[in-house]
Amino acid sequence: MTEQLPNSDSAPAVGDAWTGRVTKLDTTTGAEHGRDSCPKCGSTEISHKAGTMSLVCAFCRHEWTGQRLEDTHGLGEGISSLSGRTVTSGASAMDSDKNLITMKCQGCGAEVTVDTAHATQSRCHWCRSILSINDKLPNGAIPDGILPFSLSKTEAMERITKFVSDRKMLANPKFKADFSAEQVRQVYLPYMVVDGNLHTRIHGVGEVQTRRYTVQHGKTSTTYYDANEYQVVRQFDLHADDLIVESSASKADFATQVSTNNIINAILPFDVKNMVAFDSNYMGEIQSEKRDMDINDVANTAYTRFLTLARERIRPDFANYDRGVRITHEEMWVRGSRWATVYLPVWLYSYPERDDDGRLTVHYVAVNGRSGSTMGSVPISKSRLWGATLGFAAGTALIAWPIAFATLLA
Amino acid sequence: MDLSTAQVILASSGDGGDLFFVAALAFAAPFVVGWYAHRQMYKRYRNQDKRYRYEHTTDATMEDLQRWDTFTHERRRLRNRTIEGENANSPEVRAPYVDLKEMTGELDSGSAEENGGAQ
Repeated sequence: MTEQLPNSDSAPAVGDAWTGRVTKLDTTTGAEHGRDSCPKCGSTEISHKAGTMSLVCAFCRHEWTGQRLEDTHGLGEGISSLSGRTVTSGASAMDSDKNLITMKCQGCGAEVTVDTAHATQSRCHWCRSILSINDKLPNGAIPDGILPFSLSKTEAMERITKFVSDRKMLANPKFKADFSAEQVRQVYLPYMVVDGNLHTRIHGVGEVQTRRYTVQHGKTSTTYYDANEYQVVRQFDLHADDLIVESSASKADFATQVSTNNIINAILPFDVKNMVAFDSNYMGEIQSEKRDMDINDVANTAYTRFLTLARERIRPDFANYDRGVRITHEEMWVRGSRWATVYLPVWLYSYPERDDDGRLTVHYVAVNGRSGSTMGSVPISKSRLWGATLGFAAGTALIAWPIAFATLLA
Repeated sequence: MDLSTAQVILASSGDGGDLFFVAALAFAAPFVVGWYAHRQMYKRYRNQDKRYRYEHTTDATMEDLQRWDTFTHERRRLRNRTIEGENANSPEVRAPYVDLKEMTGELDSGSAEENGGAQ
């Protein structure tokens, strides 16, 4: 059995300096930054047509749709033959922290600056042309793909209002007074989409019940079980497609005592198979958060998620062990991975709350800008929570304690 | 109070013990209900346990599954209904020993830098 298994020493542990094979997948456009005109009339007044994947020209109403990266670059294909890291242009290591990009307006020659930490377009203050970042930047601001919003603000407001209304009874009174779904904002958040060509080996101990019997000890009895114990090993290949991983450090911290980032995480997944090549016109004036994590920063998270995925896939195979399996060893070899970056659409309502100790917690109610999946953290009033707790306890006491007294007096 | 403790109480005190046990349960009930209600209400508002269920939603195909099931011995007079330390049904909980390796892939004749540089 041992000869058939991969040698653990032949691969570096995740987190070691990566010196393996890197295959670049070119997703650059070759376009210069600046005007990005309508292919039909030349206007720069282009916007995303709400609820669709299309862009539309405000002047001639010409409509077109960006190309799906799955079609143009074969993302999602050939996972079983991935070897080393395959890295798209948008996922390449960041080698610049310069966020301000100055472009020359092709309309009037003026110089216009874009703060790429939050936006990818700016309007020329002289000729009113819209200038766009049209290709990848070394600072991580431009991803390979983007999934445009398909959920309108009205729909997002309805979902957020319902979510909060269902939780108003014990909510912080100040939050209730301040709450206005109108304040919800659109934001594009940066993620990495990872494919994995994986090999997994799981070791454990499993038990199969052979007998169940009850032994009397005076007035009491004890149930005993006999079982056969087995050493269990499962080894398999796994080809994972489109795992999504946060690539903004501020949103990748899930220490839930101080942040509610898990709320944004909980509205995943998105239909990333439909992502189109990044085009600043999809964003318009919608704010974005720039990617600030490289593959090395998120690899461990991604591969640990792959391991969990492998454990979930093999779980039904242990069904014959009716007393269960205790996994003792998990091993995974990432034979190859493919990395792409994407902006994903989120409707976000945020509310900062400072507790009695002065600690600030930002509560989010987030809505998936594609599926409408909603999750949130509503600030809770401690006094109301304890009041309700007391109410439940008192209600139970009203029923249970008379029974207790009656039993003792009987 | 677990089952075995309850059994000891019952065994040691007979019929009177039964009544005492029921009374004790009834006295404790409000505290247990209060604790449980508090926990559930807090969870419903803060949703700290919610997360991306990637292990259920990520597409993955499994191939070349190999199985080894080796009988080791029989265990008798076990008190628990399930194996001690059962964790196969909690895939997000890591096993005591985890080995996660990233294969370097077949390097071309040139260095990693020529292939795009180490990430």
